[in-house]
Amino acid sequence: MSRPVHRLPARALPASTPEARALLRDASRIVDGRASIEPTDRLAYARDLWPKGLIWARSGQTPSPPELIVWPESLEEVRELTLLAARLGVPLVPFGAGSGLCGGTVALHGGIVLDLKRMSRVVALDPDAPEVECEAGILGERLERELGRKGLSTGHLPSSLGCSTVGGWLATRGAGQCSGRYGKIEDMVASLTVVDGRGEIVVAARRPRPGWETPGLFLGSEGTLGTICRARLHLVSVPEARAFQAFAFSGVRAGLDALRAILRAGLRPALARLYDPVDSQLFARGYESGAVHKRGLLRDRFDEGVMLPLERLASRAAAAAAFGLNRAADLLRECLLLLVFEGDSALVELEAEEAARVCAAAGGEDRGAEPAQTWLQNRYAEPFRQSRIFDAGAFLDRLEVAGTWERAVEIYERVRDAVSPFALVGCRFDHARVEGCALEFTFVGSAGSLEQVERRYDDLWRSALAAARAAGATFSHHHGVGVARLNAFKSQVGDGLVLMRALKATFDPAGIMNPGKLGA
Amino acid sequence: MAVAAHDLTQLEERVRKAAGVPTRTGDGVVELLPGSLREVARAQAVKGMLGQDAERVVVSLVAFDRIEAPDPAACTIRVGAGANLGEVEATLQGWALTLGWLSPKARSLTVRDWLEGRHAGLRAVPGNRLESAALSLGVALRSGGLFVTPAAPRSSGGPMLETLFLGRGGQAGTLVEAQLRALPRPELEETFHALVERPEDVVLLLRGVAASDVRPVEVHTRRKGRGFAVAITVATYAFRARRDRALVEGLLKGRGEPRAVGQVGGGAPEFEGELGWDRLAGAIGSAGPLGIYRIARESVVVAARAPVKGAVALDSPPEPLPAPLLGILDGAGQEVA
Repeated sequence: MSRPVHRLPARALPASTPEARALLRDASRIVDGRASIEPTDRLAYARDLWPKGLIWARSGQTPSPPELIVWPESLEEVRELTLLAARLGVPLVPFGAGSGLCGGTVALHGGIVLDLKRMSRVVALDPDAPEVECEAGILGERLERELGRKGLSTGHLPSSLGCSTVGGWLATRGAGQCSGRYGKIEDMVASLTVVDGRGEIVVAARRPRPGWETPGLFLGSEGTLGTICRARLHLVSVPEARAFQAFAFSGVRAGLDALRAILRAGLRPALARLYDPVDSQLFARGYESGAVHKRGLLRDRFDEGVMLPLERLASRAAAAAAFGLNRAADLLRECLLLLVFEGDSALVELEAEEAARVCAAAGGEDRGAEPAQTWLQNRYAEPFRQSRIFDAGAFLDRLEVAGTWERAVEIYERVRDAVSPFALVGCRFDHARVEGCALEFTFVGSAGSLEQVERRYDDLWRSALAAARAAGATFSHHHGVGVARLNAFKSQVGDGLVLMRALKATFDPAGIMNPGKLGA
Repeated sequence: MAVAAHDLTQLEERVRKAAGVPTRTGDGVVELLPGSLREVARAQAVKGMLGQDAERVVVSLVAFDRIEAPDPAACTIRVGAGANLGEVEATLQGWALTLGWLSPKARSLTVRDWLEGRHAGLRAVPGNRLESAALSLGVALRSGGLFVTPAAPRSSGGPMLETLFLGRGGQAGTLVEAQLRALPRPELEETFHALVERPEDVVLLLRGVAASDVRPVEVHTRRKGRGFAVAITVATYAFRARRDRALVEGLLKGRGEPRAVGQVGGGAPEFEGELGWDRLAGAIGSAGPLGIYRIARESVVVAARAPVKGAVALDSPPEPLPAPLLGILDGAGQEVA
């Protein structure tokens, strides 16, 4: 079922086939004309934010597009479209906001893309439980705004909040920036309503309700078993108060020791993020620049503070310079730890005091509140500004892996070493829990030509994933699998692929749901 | 049906060669005695090939009751699926760790029964979420292969395939070993007492405590006069103990009358079940002394002398996996064989 991603010149898409036009007619009857085979639409839905797709876009190429895009507005329309696709044996790919970083929505076998963004209603809000039931196509930012009016929040606040949907979070098992306190999306789900590949409506609820279908079977399934149409999510109260702290440590090990000690002390920070020396430098450039503060505009701050230094580094990191730059970075020592506590004011104050005590005992130097406050101000800006790196002929990507604490340093060192020949690499330790954390590596690289950039990008990923696996890390913490990490997924699951095939055969016997993904 | 000794000897010889693991016979069956996850998978695959003779072959997991020393950095512990939870907890206590606050019956289970039974190895964690205590599972699949889930705090690598084993009664495969998450044991536990008028007040009180970021670990209620006596035990840390105490006492005053109410717990429970919050008031009102454990926003575990209406008994069989799904796993097993 799986095959490599085919690419085409973006300006010369093949014309729609008679079969596609017939499909358009059938689908249009179901969704009252909300369907398209126009080349511009097909091009727009051919890729997500997988950086390799961005590299291709810079060279005028696109992943092979779907034949048809459909915008359903109801569960029943999704069900009818699924039955149509199953009857005709046409692939069906659910699509949220297209902000995925792994090519999960690339229609490898063509077919129909099902854009769910018109299914964006808040169906029910129970402030006593507190829970919300919403449709999968709602953008995170809109959902949070509606919940905020009632003093509630999902607690799931990814940096992509403004350009990602609830369905996308669920399908990829995403994480918000405050997952250390509130959990990942899988921790927030009370139930899911899914139209599976047979066109059946499955309500997968957490216990103690009856039924064998649990949400965990569909969470992370990336559209391969069905279309997640609705979710019932647990909510939390909007925090009454926040405390911001930053501490500097003399190296990654010292910082990690402090981070672990904070969690063992019973503290529950909303954000506990340790930047390695390279990322600490980048972060410092972002908030210490005088020009940044004078302008005062969030967008300008981010451009001046983070993206411009990255662009400069990208060009400097070209070709063989990457390795030297990384070795030079070895001389850097200082690691910055950001902490944000939130909740009721009495508890926030107590937690911040205790955190300060723990960090001081671990050798941390107090850097005040401003770095963490700056993080809060900029936390949703990042995804919108990265294309400038690609405009500069370079690439930027992130690999987020996860491991237990005893492996964290080895994972960090191995992946960093593996990536060093190809790009400048920094890392932050995030989503910390009692047993371990995520390591989010940032790569900024460049090469002479677009072909060389692509080759370098592929070599980097192969090396990075192999190193992560060798050090005992998972290959993904919250970005999913898609096409970018399919081989890593297969390798990690091993014999367990039979389970994936069994689920596929159970829920999608015709094999129409996002075929070619997740090894099934 | 009696089995001739020489038949059994022949069968033993056959399966020992095929599986490559030690064997022994007794009670009319041949026991395969694997010592590793891979050997369990191989032994199961061999058993799967035997047809009718499979009834006379048992894959013994007697070797899998070990408890390793906890990892102090990650607060995890590796255990065989046959290890007793009480012993695991005792080991963890030596490191100031705990599995979490389990219900009385759960404490006597093996790791396998806890993870594969209706408990599904779930525990309540700060924030009152339910979370699996299993960081990683080692499973011998029904298809004959091995499945080891990654030992990482969280992942986004496809569907949560571990949910085909947790709470599934071993239908898709046999749990052989696990790496369990532990929690740092809080420094203090404190019990508060009150008398409230209605069962609904107990529920609101408990919800209020949980929503205040306090960790309730155990609650006991029983009818007393026209109202209900309540004892709530919370776990906390020295740095926040005063705040937590003030909060709980404030909530108790708001819902009832804080005062000593004598013994509230009702002895060893006969019944344990999982109950949704919407049915908890009814259970408090109609049951006798009730223990409430594993208090999470999704549900609670109730313990009582008799079955509690609306509660799913935790020793009842798990929901069956659909036959076609199991058939696919069996088919894959035959391919392997």
